[in-house]
Amino acid sequence: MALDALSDVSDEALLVLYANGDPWAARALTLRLAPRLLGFAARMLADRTEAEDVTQEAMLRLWRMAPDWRQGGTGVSTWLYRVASNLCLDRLRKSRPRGLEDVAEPEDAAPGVVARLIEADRMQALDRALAALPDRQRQAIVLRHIEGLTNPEIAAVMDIGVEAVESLVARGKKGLAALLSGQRAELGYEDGG
Amino acid sequence: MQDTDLEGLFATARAGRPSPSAGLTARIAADADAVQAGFKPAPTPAGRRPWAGWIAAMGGHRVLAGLATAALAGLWLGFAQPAPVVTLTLTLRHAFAADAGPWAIELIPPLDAFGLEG
Repeated sequence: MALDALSDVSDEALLVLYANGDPWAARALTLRLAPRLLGFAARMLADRTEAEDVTQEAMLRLWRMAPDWRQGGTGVSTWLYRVASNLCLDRLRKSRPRGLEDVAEPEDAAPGVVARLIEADRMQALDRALAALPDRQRQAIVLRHIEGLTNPEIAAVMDIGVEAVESLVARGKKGLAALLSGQRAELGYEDGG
Repeated sequence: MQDTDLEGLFATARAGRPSPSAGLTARIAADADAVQAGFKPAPTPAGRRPWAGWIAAMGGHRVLAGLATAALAGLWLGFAQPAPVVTLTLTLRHAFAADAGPWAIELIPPLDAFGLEG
């Protein structure tokens, strides 16, 4: 089955196709899921190289699990986020405490374009603030507000209740607001709040 | 920092999601191919039993079982010792060989015996 023909096929069906030997199913799943995993891992780890390693490892576990996949349970993307979350948390526990100065500088700020500079500064500030949050709060914030998962999906990923997710997200947003409050003018926000 | 400011930052982060590099995509694809090569192909009914079509053409397992039983029975009848027939033949041979009137066995009685009867 060609790659184009798989665009409307669900993740679960693609995984079954992969397990049955379809050569294109893995490509379709990679195009669909790897960017999301990479973005999530990059926000969690603030390190592109480590984020790529986590993405590759999570996808490898998906391939190995494919023949045993049971439809009707947790969705493929939720399952992958759970694996990636655990891999990220493992790396965070093993690594030294990460300070704000450890967050990488933007690779390319598009010199000459003010808007791109402001955007890059804001993303750098967000990454630094996220890195300063406790791991679980950062995980909940990234899944909810950047990856766009619902609270029940986050609960499944983090293996906690929905109320706990709501609490983590609320505390995380409060922490981000406090960390960024002194940088409003620096980040190009107008006064007024 | 207001909630709207945070929402704006989140929206920018969503839009700026990093793309996997060509190297990462290639490594993931290589992993997928290597793992997939280790899968056993899902057995199809015809693939699992090449003779399945022939069995169906013969009428199924029950018909084949009946045919096998009949074939075995035929073999047994062909090779088994016909002991009861031999016994009967020997008995008749001894009876005809004995030339004694009272012991003669008349398989077909003579017609004059019926004529003597009143």
